[in-house]
Amino acid sequence: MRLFFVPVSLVVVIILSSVASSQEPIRTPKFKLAESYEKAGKFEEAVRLYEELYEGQPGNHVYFEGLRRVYLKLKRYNDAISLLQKRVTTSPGDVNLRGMLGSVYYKAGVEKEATAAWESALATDPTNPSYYRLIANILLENRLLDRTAELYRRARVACGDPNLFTTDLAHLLAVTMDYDGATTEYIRWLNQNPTQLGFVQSRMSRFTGKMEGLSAALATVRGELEKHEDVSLYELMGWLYLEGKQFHEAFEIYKKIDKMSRKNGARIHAFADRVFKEGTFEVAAKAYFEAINTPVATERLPQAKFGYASALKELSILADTLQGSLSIDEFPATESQPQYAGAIAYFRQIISEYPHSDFSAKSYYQMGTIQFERFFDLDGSLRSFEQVEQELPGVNVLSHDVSLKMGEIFTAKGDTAKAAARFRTVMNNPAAVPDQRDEASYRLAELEYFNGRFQGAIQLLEGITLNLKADYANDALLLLSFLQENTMTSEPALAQFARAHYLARQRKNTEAIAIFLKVIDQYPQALLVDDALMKVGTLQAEAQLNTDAIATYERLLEEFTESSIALDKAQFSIGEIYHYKLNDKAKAISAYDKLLADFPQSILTAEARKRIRRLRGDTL
Amino acid sequence: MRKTAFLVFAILLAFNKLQAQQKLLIYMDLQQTDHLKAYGVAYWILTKGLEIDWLLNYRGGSFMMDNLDFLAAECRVRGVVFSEVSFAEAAQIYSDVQREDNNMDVIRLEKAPRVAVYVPPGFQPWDDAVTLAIEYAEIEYDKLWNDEVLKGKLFEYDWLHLHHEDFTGQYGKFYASFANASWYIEQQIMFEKKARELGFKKVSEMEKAVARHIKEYIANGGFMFSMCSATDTYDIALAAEGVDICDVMYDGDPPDPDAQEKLDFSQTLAFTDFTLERNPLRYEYSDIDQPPSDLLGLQNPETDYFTLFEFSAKFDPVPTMLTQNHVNVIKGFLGQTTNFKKSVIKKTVVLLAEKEGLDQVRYLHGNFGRGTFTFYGGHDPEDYQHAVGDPPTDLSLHKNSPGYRLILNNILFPAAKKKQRKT
Repeated sequence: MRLFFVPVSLVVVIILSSVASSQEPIRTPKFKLAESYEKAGKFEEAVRLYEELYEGQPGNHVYFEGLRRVYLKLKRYNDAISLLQKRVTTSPGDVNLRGMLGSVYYKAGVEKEATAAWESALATDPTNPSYYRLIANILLENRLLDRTAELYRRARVACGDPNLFTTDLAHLLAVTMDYDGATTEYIRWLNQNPTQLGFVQSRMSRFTGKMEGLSAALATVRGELEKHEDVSLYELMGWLYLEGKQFHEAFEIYKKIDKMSRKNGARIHAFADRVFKEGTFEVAAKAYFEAINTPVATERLPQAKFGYASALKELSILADTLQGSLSIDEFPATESQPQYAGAIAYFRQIISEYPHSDFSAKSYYQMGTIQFERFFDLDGSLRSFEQVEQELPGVNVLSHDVSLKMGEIFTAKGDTAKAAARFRTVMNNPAAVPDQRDEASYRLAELEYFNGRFQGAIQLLEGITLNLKADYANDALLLLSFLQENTMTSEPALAQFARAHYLARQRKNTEAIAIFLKVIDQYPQALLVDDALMKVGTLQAEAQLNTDAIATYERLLEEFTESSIALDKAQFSIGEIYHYKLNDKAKAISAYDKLLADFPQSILTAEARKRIRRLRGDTL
Repeated sequence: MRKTAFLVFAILLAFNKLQAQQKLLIYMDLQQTDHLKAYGVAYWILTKGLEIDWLLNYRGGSFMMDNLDFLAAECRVRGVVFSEVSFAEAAQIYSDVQREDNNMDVIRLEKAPRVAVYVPPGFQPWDDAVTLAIEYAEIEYDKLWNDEVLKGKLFEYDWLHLHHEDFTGQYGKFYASFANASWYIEQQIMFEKKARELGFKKVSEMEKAVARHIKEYIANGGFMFSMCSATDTYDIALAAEGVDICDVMYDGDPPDPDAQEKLDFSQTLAFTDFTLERNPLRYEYSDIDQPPSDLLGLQNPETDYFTLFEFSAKFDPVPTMLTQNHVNVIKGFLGQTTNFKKSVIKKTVVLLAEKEGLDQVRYLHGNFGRGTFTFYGGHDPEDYQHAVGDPPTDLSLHKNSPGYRLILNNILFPAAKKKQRKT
C-alpha cells in the first residue's frame, strides 16, 4: 500500500508541476521586466528577456505570446515565422496558430505561404464553420476584405449550408460598397426570416441613402422578384421606392402588396396618406382612388374619400398657372382654373354620402375655402361655411376657423356689422387658440380702419403688438405705424385712403383706383400719397394694366425721390412686371439692377440679386 | 465765334465727364459689405482678360480697375460695394500708395490662376474651409485626387489647395473615436482600394508618393496652400520617406520602432526636429501642433485671437499680399492642427501670423524651388470648434470674415505679375 502510494503521489506531483510549468505564467521578476519594457515600447530589451524566458520554458504559452508579439512589433517577421512554425509542429491541430502563422507570412510580404498556412488551418476540419469564421477574422484583420467574402461563400459550399454567414457577408459587402451583393445577402436573410423586414431595412438604410446604393438595391430586388414573387420582397421593394421618392413605382408595388396580403385596400390607403404628407398629390390622388374602388373597409372609406378630394384640391392649386409667381392675394378671381370643380364635386359627394358627420363638415369647410379664396364667390362660400355649422353644431375644432372665414366674407360683402360680430366671437372666446384670437383682433382693427374709426383700430393693434412673437404682430405693426403717422398729419386723406382700401378688399378695383388717385390729387402733401400710388400700381398690375402699373411706379420713383420709403418696392415691382407678366428678361434685369444701384440698403436686394442670376441663367 | 466757343466747351465737358468716372475702386476696409465676394469679383474680372491693381495696405487691400458698366453691374449683383473714382482721384490714390513714406504698394493682377483642390471622392464642400470660401466667392476650381496627382495633372494648375487631408496614411487618426463609424470604414476601404489600384501595398505609401509629387510641383513653380492637418501631415510624410510610422490598425503591421530616429528633416518644407506622436489612439500626429488636439477643450474662444505681422509692402510684397485684411487681430479657430510650434519651424520660413506671447504660429509662408507654400492652421475660421458631422458654415452670414480673407488672399496671389524683388 505504502509502495503504491509513493509512486502515485510522485506522479501527481510531477504532473502538477509540469502543468504549472507549461500553462501558468511564472511571474518572475524577469517576466515582469519584459512586460514593462514591452509596455514602455522598449522592444529590443523586451525581446531579449522573452527569448531567455521562452528558451527556458518553450511550452509556456504566455512566454510564447510575449515573444511573438514583440517579434511583430520589431518587424522581425522571420523570427516570428520560425517561432510559430515550431509551435505548429508541437500542436498541429491548433487552427489559431496556423492562422497566426499565415498572418505573419502576409505581413512579411510572402502571400503564397500565408495562403498555404490558412488553407492548412481550414484543412484540419474542412466542414467546421467556426474554423472558417476564425480564418475570416484573421483575413479581416489583414484588411483582405475581398478574400474574406470569398471565404464566407466557400464555407457555405464546404459546410453544406447556403445560408451560413449571411449577415456577416451582407455587412462586409455593404462596407466594401458592393451594394448588389449586400442586397442579395439581405434578401437571403429575409427569405429565412420573413418577419425581420425591419431589421433588413435598418441595415440597408446605411447605403440606400446613396444614389448608387439605392439603384443597386432596387435592381437586385427586382431581379429576385422576377425569379419568385414574395410579399416580403415586395415590401422591401416598396420601401426602397419610397426611400428614393419614386412614388409612382412605389404605388404599383403597394397595389401588389395589398392584393397579395388581401388587405382590401388598407395598404393602399396607408400608402396614400404617406404620399399625401410627402406632398406628392398626384400619386396620392391615384392611391386614394384605388383604395376607394377596391374598396377599403367601410370604416376607412370616408377617410379615403376625404383624402382623395383633398388631393384633388391640392392638385388644382398646383395647376393654377399663376401659383408661385405672385401671392394668393394678388390672384384675379377670373384666372382661377376650372380644376377645382373636380375637388368641389367630390366634397359634395362626401357630404351627400356621410351627412352630419365630421367628413361632411370638413368637406363644407374645404369647399367654402375654395369658393372664397379661389373664386371670390362670396355667397357660395358663405353658404358652405354656414353648412359647416349646421353639420357640426356647437363649438368644435372647426368653429373658430369658420367664424374667421365668415367674418372675412362679410367684410368683403360690405356687411361690417356681421363681420365684426363674427370676429368678436373668436376674439373673446378663451377656447380659441392665441393665433386665432390675434387674427380676429387684427380683422376687427381692419374693420375699424375701413370705417374711419382710427383710434379704435390703433387700440386693437396695440393689443396684438404686445406679443411680438405672434403671427399677426408684423401685420399689426405695419398697419399701426401707418395709422399713427397719418392720423397725426392728414386724417381726411387717411379716411379717403381707407375707403379706397376697403373697396380694393372688395375687389372693386376700378373704384378703388379712382379714389386713390383722387387722394393723390387732393392731398399732395399727405404722407400717404406714395402709399396710394403703390396701391394704384398694385391694383393696375392685378388687372393686367401692366403699362399703367409701370407708369404709376415710375411716377412714384420720380415724384417722391426724397420723401417715400416705398421707392425700392416700386422699383422691385417694375422688375416683377417685366419679369413675370411681360416676360421681358432684359428689362427685368435692368429694373432689378436699378434697384441694386439706387437702393443698395433695401431688404429686397438679396431677392433682386437672386432673380437677376436666375434670369441670366447663372449656374451658381 | 460764339458758336465755336460753345463747341469747345461742350467737347471739354464731355471729355471731363468721360474722365470723371474712369476707375472703379472696390475698397476692402470696414466699409465693404462683402469682402469674400469681392475676391470673387476680382477673380471673375481676371477671367475676362482684364487687369486689376491690388492696392496693398490701401483701405484694407483694395482693388482698382477700369470703370466698365458691366463690372459695376456685376459688383452690384454679387453685393460688393465700390466707388467710382475720377481720373484725378485715381491718380491721387496711386500717388499716395506709391509714396516712399507710405507702407503701401500696387500689384498688378493679370491672369486668373487655375485652381485645383485636392480632395478624395465623395467629399463634402462644407468639410473644407477653402472650398467653402472659393464656392462662396464663385471662383472656379477643379477637384484632384491621387490618380490625377500621380499622373502629373497637377502641373496644369497654378494653385493647389490641401485642407484636412492626412498624408501620413493614418486616416486622420480618428481610429479611437470613429473606428466603427460607417464613414470611417468606407473611407479606409476606399483608400485601400485606391492604393492597390495604383500599385501601392499600403495607403501610407500612396500618400507619401502624392506628397512627393506635390513637392515636385512646388519646386517647378506651383503655389500650394494648406490648412489644418494637411500642413503638418504633409511635412511628416515627406520626412518619413521609407519609414513605417503607421500602427497596425492603419496599415496592418506595427510601425518601425526606430521611426523617430529615421525621420529625414531635410526633405520637409516647413518643419524640422519635430517628434512624432506614437500613440495610435491619440488624435495628434506630432508636437508640431500647438496646443495638442486633445487639449483644445481648454482653449477659451473669448480670448483666442492671433495677430498678423506687418510687412513692408514695397520690399516684401508677397507676405504683404498674403496678410491683406481689414483688421490685424483675428479671431482664433481650432482644427486638428491649430497652430505650429515656433521652435520646430525652419529658419527659412516667413511667419505671417502668431498668437502673441506664445510659441504658436498660425500662418506661415515659404519658398521651395521656383514655387511657394503657405500653411494656415485651424479648420474653419467661422466655426470655432468644427466637429465631424457639424452642419456647414453659411458664409453668407460671414461675408466680412477676416479669417476667410486670408484664404482668398492666397488665391489671388498667384495672379500677381512677377516684380523684381527689392530684398
